[in-house]
Formats: sequence, structure tokens, C-alpha cells
Amino acid sequence: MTRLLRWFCDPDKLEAIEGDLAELYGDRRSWRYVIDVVSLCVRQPRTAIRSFVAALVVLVLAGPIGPPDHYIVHATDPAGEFVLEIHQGQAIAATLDGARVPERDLVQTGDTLIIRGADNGADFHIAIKPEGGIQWYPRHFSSR
Amino acid sequence: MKKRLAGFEELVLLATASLGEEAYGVTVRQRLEAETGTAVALGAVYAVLDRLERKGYVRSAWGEATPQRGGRRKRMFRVTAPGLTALRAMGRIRSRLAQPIPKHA
Repeated sequence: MTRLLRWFCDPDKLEAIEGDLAELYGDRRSWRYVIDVVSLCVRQPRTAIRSFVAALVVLVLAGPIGPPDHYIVHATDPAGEFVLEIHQGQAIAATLDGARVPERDLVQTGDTLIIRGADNGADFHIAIKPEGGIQWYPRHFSSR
Repeated sequence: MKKRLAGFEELVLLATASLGEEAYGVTVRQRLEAETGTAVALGAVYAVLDRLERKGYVRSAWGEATPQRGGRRKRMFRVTAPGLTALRAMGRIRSRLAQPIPKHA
């Protein structure tokens, strides 16, 4: 990973970036470390073409993997912000405008998630897509 | 046309401003994760900090090297006067937009 980073990354920024990675991870290697290195390769490139190559490599590697096992969705509509944490297609946690939704208010049947009372007092319906991601009808703004 | 701050740019700029003289990649990321409760990629933080520097909202300078960092220097970021002005302008826009919709008879 270090060689990958040195090949892709802008040399003017490499010292600070390698220092940050050493401070964060030391000798430990985790998925978080890999994600950070890949994100730095793509977004702090030596040249635009290397950024393109890095993005292509990520796409090729990610393609056959399918939907992520665990991911977090940040979304906003006129009623505010909400965040969903999804594990193996099941919503396991949610926040509305930063406030955690009690577990009892998260009801999921198949691909449909209902957050009780989250749409201006009414139930808020969200479709969790099998390929990853969500779909919903935007809630209306409420001045309450 | 005025330069505007995108959503994540504003968060990174706020985190940088709140850290004062202690703002660099690691601390900005930790601050963002602590306040938003979600994971943020280090590459995303640096990409936004670079963009903010090009806009003149932050400036960077080399900082100290520590043994913990393998002797590598930190790249420290400071919010500039135009950056603070942009943050205040965004704050005012947010306050106005958050006003309740007036009721019509």
C-alpha cells in the first residue's frame, strides 16, 4: 500500500499524508487504512492521469464485489437531514437531524423501512435498494 | 459572482476554524467524525482542504514532525480572513432560511 501511495500521490503532499497515516494507524493495517490510502490515491494524485487510473482500478475491483455489507447513507430533504446505517440490507440505526431514532421506531419489512413519526408526525417510508442505497419521497418542510 | 461554499466544504472549514492552531489532516478528520458521527475518508478531507486553499479560505504551512509520525512534518491549516467572512455569510444564509414560513390568513 505504501508503494501504491508513493506512486499515485502528489510528492509535495506525501510527507504530510504519510505522517498522518502513521499517526492514525502506526503499524496496524485495517480496512479503514486501505480505504484511506485508496481515497488519497484518487484525490491527491501526482497527475490527473494517475487519478484516472486509480479511479479505474477502484471501479474494476469494486465491480464484482456487489453491494457493500455495511454502509451509511446521509440524505437530506426539505424536512431535514437523516442518516441510516445499513448492515446486510437491514437498517440497524438512524438519526434525524443528528438525534438518534429509538430502535422501536425502526420497522423494516423486506426492502421497505418505516421510521415511525419521522414525516411530520406520520410514518416515513424508505425503500432500501438490494444493490445498495435508498429511495424515498422527500418529506415536506415543517416550521414546527 | 461570489464564491460559495458547498456543504462539505463548509463543515471542513468550520472544523478547521474550531481547531485554531491545531488543524491538520488527522485532527480535522477526527473533529468531523466526532461531530457528525460518521466516517470520513482522509482523501476527502485533503481534497476539500486543497480546494479551500485555492479559493483563499485557508492557508497551509509545515508544522512539527513527531516520532509518532515517523519524523514526518504535519501540514497545518489556518482559516484566512476571507474564509471567516465566507463562514459568517453562510451562517447568515442558514439563519434566514431557517426562519419559519409566515402564516397567511
